[in-house]
Amino acid sequence: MSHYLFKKIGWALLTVGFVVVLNFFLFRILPGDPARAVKDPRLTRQSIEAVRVRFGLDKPLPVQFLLYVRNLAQGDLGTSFHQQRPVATILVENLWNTLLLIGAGTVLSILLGIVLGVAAAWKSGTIIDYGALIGSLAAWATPTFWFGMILLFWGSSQLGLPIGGKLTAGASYDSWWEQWLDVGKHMLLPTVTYTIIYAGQYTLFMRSAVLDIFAEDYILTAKAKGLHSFQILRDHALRNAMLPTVTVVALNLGFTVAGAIEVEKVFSWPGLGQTIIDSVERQDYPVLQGAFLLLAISVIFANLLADLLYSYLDPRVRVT
Amino acid sequence: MLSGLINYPTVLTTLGGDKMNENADDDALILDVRNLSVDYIAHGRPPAHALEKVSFQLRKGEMLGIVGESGCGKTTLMLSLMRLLPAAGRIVNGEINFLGADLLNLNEKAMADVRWKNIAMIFQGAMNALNPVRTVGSQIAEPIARHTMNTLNDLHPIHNANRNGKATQSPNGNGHYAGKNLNPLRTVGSQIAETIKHHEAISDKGILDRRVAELLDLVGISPNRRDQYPHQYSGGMRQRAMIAMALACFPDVIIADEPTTALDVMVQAQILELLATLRQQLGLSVLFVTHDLGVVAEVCDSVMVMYGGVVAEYSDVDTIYNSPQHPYTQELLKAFPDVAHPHSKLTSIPGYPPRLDALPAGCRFAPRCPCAFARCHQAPPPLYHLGKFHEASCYLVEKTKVGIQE
Ligand SMILES: Nc1ncnc2c1ncn2[C@@H]1O[C@H](COP(=O)(O)OP(=O)(O)OP(=O)(O)O)[C@@H](O)[C@H]1O
Ligand code: SF4
Ligand SMILES: [Mg+2]
Repeated sequence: MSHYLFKKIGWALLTVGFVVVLNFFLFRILPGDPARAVKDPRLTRQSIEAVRVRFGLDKPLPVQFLLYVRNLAQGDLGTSFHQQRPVATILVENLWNTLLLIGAGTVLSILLGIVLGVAAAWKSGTIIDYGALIGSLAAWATPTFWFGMILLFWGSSQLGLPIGGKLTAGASYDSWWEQWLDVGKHMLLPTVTYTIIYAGQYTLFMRSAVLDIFAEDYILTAKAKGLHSFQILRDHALRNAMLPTVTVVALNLGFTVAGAIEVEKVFSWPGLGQTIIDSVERQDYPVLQGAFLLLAISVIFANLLADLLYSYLDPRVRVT
Repeated sequence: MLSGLINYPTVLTTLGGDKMNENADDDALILDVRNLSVDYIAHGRPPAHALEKVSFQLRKGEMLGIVGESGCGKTTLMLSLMRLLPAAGRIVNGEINFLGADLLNLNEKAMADVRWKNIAMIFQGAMNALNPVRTVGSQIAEPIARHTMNTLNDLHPIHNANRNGKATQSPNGNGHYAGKNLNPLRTVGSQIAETIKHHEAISDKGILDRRVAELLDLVGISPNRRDQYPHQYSGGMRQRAMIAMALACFPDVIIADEPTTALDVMVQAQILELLATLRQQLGLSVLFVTHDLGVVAEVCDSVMVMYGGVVAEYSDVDTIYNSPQHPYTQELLKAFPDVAHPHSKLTSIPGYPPRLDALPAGCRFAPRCPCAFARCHQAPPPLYHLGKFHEASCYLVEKTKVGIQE
């Protein structure tokens, strides 16, 4: 067990190191001079040069790289060209909002997906199965931004929900829970959008995993033992069907940070996705570089999490 | 060892004893299958007649070998007995009389109670028949926990009182159970519960653990390996564990469907020896499915030879080996002349078994039969009785018959 653990963690760290290097050079070979992105027509050539010096862009590449690594080690991701604030601060603010959104959405979509998928497989061939199948295919195929806009339109006009943002502008709150209530109202629609889009995928996945398991010989053994179908589902099918699902969920987890971009855009949610879009428009390289690093690391750690969870669920992996 | 096991009465109370048959006076008769026919239904194709009018009997302590080429319906027959055919399979005719009642008349719930408790099964591939993510021990314990409490409930009217809610009354208020032996200060239920715990509460974890350990010991696996997973076992050990599992509830019948096929020769021999020993020790009644006539000769009392879903010949081992009457049996024995080398395969009869959805009009063996004559191609031969316990479905034996199976 511990050997496996160390190996997996070692690989994850190695990958992070590789990403750190790649991330640096990726942003040096991209077109466009970062210094010019600090858009201000009044800037003279001298001041542009001063900006280059300030951001360390005048130094040779190897020196820049060493500085980058040293700063990174100190948690310094540089300064935003546009906002003139530390990238780390900006990212942490936005990451928190994104995590709030995708955290709620992921938990809900996984629960919904597992319940619907298992129900569909258990009642396979019935109206429940077809309903779940059609519903999740539709959810999967629906473009996120389109579905988000429909919900936004319907929710704001029919339910009086806010049309975007995280808090009502200019509102003052008497207590922390009033503030959270406001956040909740703002979060509702984006979370529902996110949940439904992803639950479709998880439902399909869980359904096929359970159906595969039902065809296994050990399920026949379980039936031959006289176990009831619910017992068979609970004791022999669920855990085994979780194996492929865990992989997909964990892999998704990394990408969902990026996948939240569309939802955040539609609902003007001040998250990482929104920040990335803005930074691309403004060629704000330090923020992009930091965001990319964050995304890459979250994918790597989601993978690590999948491996560890897998080894917990599957004893065959545990020993090797 | 075995004496340490807690023996449970294997009375089949879920079954009605009303259905009598001509063998009802035969005390040793456990299983009496009659005219069992099974079809596999496929969409847009004619049904495949996988079994047609198969009849056989199993007595207490008997080991019946069922042999035939691949695809002749052996597994189909075994799964029918447990009513576990795949979705496409239909039992279209017949009776499965088990301890005097027809299993085909039971509702699904009653049938679930019979499974493993009364009829257990050792599957062909133990690797796949065991759940890879659960420990071997827990999988052996599972049927015990599932069935034993049921049996207690069914066998002990006292225990039923517990369920009816009377158990919370004190002994004086419940004349039926009142007696000197009951503590008047405690509810009947609590005292009964205590008794059961003392003697037979299999739901009790400690006792369950002990049972599992004893079962593993019985099949030659060290009990301290019970918390390991199937992949940590060798192929032979997995098959032993399957056997331990099959024995868990003291079944009346054990079905072993090619229990040694996936194993190498040495291990095959060990598993066979284990089965033979256990059978002697415990007086098991076994349906033993195999390709291997040599193995049958070694361990079985009687043999049913199947061909293309029908019984070709059925008799005791001596008769089948020394005076086989059906050409298919004869060909099998020829293809397999030396019982001392029991591991060659039954492949040397030219041709293939018939397609079940396009059966020949006459005898199912006719296209391959060296003795076939005109009549064989017109109508299928009935099963002729050739003696007290010898049956064959071939026109050649018509002259020596003493009766015909209806
Ligand atoms: N689910 C199914 N649907 C349709 N036909 C089936 C199905 N299962 C089995 N059959 C057919 O029924 C026949 C009998 O199959 P069965 O598995 O009982 O043979 P078997 O004697 O056990 O063979 P083997 O020695 O290879 O295990 C075969 O011709 C097979 O093609
Ligand atoms: S009935 Fe005819 S074809 Fe069939 S086994 Fe007998 S001789 Fe052969
Ligand atoms: Mg088979």
